[in-house]
Parts: sequence; C-alpha cells; structure tokens
Amino acid sequence: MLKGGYTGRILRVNLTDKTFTEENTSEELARNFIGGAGFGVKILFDEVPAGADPLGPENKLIFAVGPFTGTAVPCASRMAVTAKSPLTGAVGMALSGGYFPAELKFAGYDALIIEGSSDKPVYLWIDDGKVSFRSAEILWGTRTFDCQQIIKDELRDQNIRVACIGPAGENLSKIACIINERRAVGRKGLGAVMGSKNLKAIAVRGSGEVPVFDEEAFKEARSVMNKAMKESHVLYPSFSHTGTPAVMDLTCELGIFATKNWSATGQWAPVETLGVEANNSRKIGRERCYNCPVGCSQLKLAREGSYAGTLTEGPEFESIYSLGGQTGVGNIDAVIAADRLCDELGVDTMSAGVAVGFAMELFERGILTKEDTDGVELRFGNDEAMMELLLKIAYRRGLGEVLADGVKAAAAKIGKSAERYAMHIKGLELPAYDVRGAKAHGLNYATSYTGADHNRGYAFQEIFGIPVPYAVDRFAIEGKGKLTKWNQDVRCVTCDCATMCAFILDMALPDIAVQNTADLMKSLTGLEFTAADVEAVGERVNNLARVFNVLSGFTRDDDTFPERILTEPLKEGNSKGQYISREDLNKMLNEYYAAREWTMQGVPTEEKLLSLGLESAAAALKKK
Amino acid sequence: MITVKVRAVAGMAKLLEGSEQSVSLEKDSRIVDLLDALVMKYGQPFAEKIYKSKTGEVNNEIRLLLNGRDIAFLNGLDTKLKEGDSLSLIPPLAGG
Repeated sequence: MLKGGYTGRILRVNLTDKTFTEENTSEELARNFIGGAGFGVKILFDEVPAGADPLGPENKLIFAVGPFTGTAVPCASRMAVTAKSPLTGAVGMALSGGYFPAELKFAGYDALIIEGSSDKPVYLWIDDGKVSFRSAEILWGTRTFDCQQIIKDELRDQNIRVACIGPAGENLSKIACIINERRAVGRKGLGAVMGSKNLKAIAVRGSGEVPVFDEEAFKEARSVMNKAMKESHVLYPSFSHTGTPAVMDLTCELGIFATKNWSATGQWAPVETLGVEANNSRKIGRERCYNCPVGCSQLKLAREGSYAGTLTEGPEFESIYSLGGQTGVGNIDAVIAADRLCDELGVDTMSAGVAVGFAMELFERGILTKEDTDGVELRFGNDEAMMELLLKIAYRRGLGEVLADGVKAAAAKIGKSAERYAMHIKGLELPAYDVRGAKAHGLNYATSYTGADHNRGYAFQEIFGIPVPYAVDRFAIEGKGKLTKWNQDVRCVTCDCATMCAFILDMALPDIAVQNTADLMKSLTGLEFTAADVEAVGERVNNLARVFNVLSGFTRDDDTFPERILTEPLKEGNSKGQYISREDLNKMLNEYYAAREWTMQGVPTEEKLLSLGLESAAAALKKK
Repeated sequence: MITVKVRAVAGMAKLLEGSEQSVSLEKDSRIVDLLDALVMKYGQPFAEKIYKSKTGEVNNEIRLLLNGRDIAFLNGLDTKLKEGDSLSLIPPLAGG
C-alpha cells in the first residue's frame, strides 16, 4: 500500500472520445519503476505497439512526475514525458522542470496518460481532479507564451500552469517541443506527438498536498541532501549565479566544444563572445523551479543591434552550443534572441541549431545552393539567416520544410552525400560535447535509449573531473563500457524516475545519491528500498527501454557515431588528435554489452530480463 | 630556460590578470614549481585559491590539466614541464 509520496492516482484521458478515467497507482509499479521516466517507459512498453505510427492515434503521451515531486524534497518539480518518438522511432523521453510538474501532483496525479486523438484542436483543463476538454480552435496558431497567458485569462486564474505546443508542434515538425512556463520538454519531437493529437495545451491547477509516511525519517534524509548541497563547492558558490554557461568555458578549454557542425571543434572556440562572462553581462535576474533553493535559471536581455530588448530565460549551455557554436554565430545577443524564438515557436533549441548548422555546412560545400535557400547566403555566422530559418522550420516553409524533421530526414531528402554531415545518432541530433575528447560521454550518446542524449548517462567524471565512482581519463577506451552502465543506471533512477534535478546529482550528491534516494523513498512512501533496489530500478528502466527499441528494429549497428567522429581526428585544441575509431567503438560496445549482460548484438538476454522481473519483455523478444 | 603557458578558465582569470599568461622557468621544472612561480607573481589572493591554507597542499578542487590532460593521469604535481606546455587552471564548475 502506498503510504506517502504518491497520490495513488493516474489520470487516463481519451481525446478521441473526450472521456477520462482514473486508475490506481499500483504498489508494484511504484516499487519497480518509482515514477517519472520509469512510469513512462513501463506504460509505453505495455500499451504502445513497437510498430505504432508515432504521429498516429495509437501512440500515447505519458506525463509522469515522481514521488518526490511536490514534497519538501528540493529540486524535485520535474516531470518525464514519454511516447514513441517521431524523430527517432525509439523511446522518446524528455523532462522539464518549473512549476507545472508540482501543480500536476497537487491536482492529484502521479501520471497523466493521453490516448487517441481529437478531431478538432482542444486543450485539457485539470482543475483539482475535475477534468474537462475545452476548444483550442482560436488558440491554434498561437506561440507558446501567448497561449499560456490566453488560457490563464480565459479560465480567470493567473496561477494556472500550462504546458503547450507552438506552431512547430501544430505543423508536426519532428523536432517540436512542449513548453511549460519558459521551460521545455525539449527533445525527441514530443511536441509533434501532442500536435498529432490536436492537443494544444494542458492546463492544471491543484491544491492538494502530498502525504508523507514518516516525517522524522523523511526530515533526516532531506537534511543529508541539504547538507551535501551546502557543502558543494559549485552549487551555491557559482552555479546558482551563472547557471550552465560556465560549461562553455570549460568545454572550450578541454577542446570539446563542438562548433560549425562539428567541423571546427578546438579551432573555433568563442569563449569571449559566448562564454560565462558574456552571458553574465546580459543577466538581469534569475528564475527558479518550484521548491528549488538554487535558482540557476538566468534571465538575460539582449542589448545590442536589432536584438536589443529581447529577453530569454537562458540561453542554457546546450542552446549556446546549438544556436551559437553549431551555426558559427558568435554573438550573445543573437543567441538570446534565437533561444527565445525557439521557445515561442515550440521547437527544440538543440535539434534546431544543429539542423541550421548542418544546412550551413552543406551551403559552404556547395551541396545546397542559393536556389535551395531562397536566395539566402546560408554561411556559418549569418545570424539573420539563422533567425529566418528557425521560423521557416516551425512553419515548414522553403528550406524549413526540409529541416523540420531533423538532420537525418533532411539528409535523406537532400541526397548528394549529405548524410556524411548529418550529426545525429538514431535520428537525434548530437548534444554539445565533442565526444572525440570524452569517450564514455560518447559511448552514452551511442547507446542511450533515446538516441544521442547527454542527460541519460552524462559522464561527469570526464567532463567535470568528479572522481565518483572513480577518477577517469577522458581519452581512454578501456573501462568506459562499465562506467557508462553505471552513469546511465544511476542517473536514470535518481534523476529521471525520482524525479530530481540532475544538476544536484552532479554538483552535490554523486557519491551518496543512490543511498539518499533509498532513504528518501523509504521515509516518504513507506516502501522498503535499499541502495541495491534503487540501482536495480535504473537498470530495469534502461533494459525495458532497450527491449522496446529492439522490437522497433534497432540493432547494434545503430549504436554508432556519425562518420566525422569515427574518421576525423580533432585538428586543434586540448583534445587535438583525438577521435573514436570503429575499432575503439567496437571495443567499448563489447565491454558495455558485457557489463549490461546483453548479447554481443546488444539484445538483453532472457536471463537478465527475468532477473529484473521483466517477464513480458523477455516473452516479447522471444516472439520476435 | 623554458616558456610555458598558463590558462585561467572562467573565474580563475581574475586572479591571474587575464586568461592567458606566459611564464619562464628553469629547464626540468615541474608543475609544482610553476604554481610556486605564480604565487610569487600574483601573491596572496592566488595562493589562497590554489593552496589549502591549513595543510599547504594544492587545493584539489582546482582542476589542473597539462595540454588538456588531467595531471592525475600524468605524474601529478611532479610532472616535468617542457617548452610550449600549457597548464589550464579550472575552478569548480558544472552545469548541463
């Protein structure tokens, strides 16, 4: 019986029939999957056929918070949104923070499952357990910030929280995102899934409280977390003041800040114009998620040129990489404006920036010409062209129609060997870190269940030098398979399932997170959890997601890198000469599969799945 | 004599009057000798950051890379320097 942490209820909404039901959150689900991405992956596996059309009515969109969400655990207003990704065809799971996750919990739900699709644009209104379907016909076409405000005005409550799509999601761009407040469920095209269901927005208001099983023990477990946060030399002293842009200075120094479609890493490293000092010069305030004492989100105001006066919450490091580094636009004001524009249009800053950078390289090489770019000189550094192209992507106009579904699809449309320059893995555009200089970080990109996804198994040992569980040489190949399993399993359960902000894991809790999660779970929910049980949840989710992907047709061949990473050593900088050869990739994969107890084809063995209680997954693989 | 570069990342640049410096040292100097030379040049504020006050040990929160490599994977502070080497000083930072 769930005695705390969970509301005990899951809301299931059918958009085709405009009906809804409530189900109990089972103890089995809580014990084995905890919440967040765990719930998302489990429900996706059970209810969505691997062969489903991601933009068809069979796909489901699962919003799941964690038992920590909405409680006194700091930094836990996080939700995982899961569906079959239209961008990759694999599991699509992305998270966001802010206030919406906590509000969904207060409204009474551990998860929200959206099925079917509406014949006309609608939005969902969840008001403390009262659910209604409201017309979104006049909202269709609005940008995300306006949409949120109009809904709050219509429902006459400025404290409503809204998650919505913008024009990109409405136009089924496979790199469309979902925006809540100014936060993004950024990646994997989940905005297009919402658009395909004609669901413009979800509005939520809740006044409930989350029960706690053992207040004293819960307070004690929280104090361990709070103490570790206070003792961090990074979290409050610097991270809360600068946010993520400091990583730009770091990765430039390491020689792994990927620039100009990954062709100029180490050669063009624009710290002066896009690094932490440049970002600080534009800072006018900060934002925080619900119940977060850190407040790392920086509000920045563009100051110069035609961008002056544009405000954004961000840009985060990854957006600086994609909209500045990848495009060659070394102009902080342009990046601020591009960041805001992507949020308003509801398109993933990361995939969009990489797509623009990809098109720029093709233009520089003559593979795309002015005829393809509507007369625009689409060269690296052309900020005006970038801004115009972001709009075109959202509205599928001109070259935007080609790029709106990501670089893999764009390369297939363009032909002429464009795929050699398409920087994606399994269809998901690569995040910031040039993995030629950080091999475990790279192995995670190659093997993560969502595609090239830094947050599923971030190798903080290599990037930040954190020696947990041990110190690691970022250039070494050996040992990276084992390390990647650990990074993926621990991050999955402590951050994606619990839910908890991953920055707290990296900056305060790396050595105690698993035990702390067990102690918080026990005291909050009344369920027995050891550290081993917690780590097993992370392993279970990674295995189940892998089986979904295998059933969707993914093989070892898809656990790979773009050609550039496999064949082009870095030319300059502090990672000069580094790359990951096919031989080294194979060595790392073999070690990773062995650590995971999968076959050498990357398929979870029956023995492994049964040991994790995944009988239905084992049976499904047998049938294949 | 050899000339090596010192690169100060993010907040460290304030302590060294800029993000890049050249330092001249005796041949066969080690990293620890370079740090001592920097303390001589930049004084107390730098010393307080780079050394733990009670023990005099180098503050291991400051990440030291030699030509991009964590010095823990070389010979630590005893690593010998050569002409043109570049030492990066990185303060505690993290992010996404």
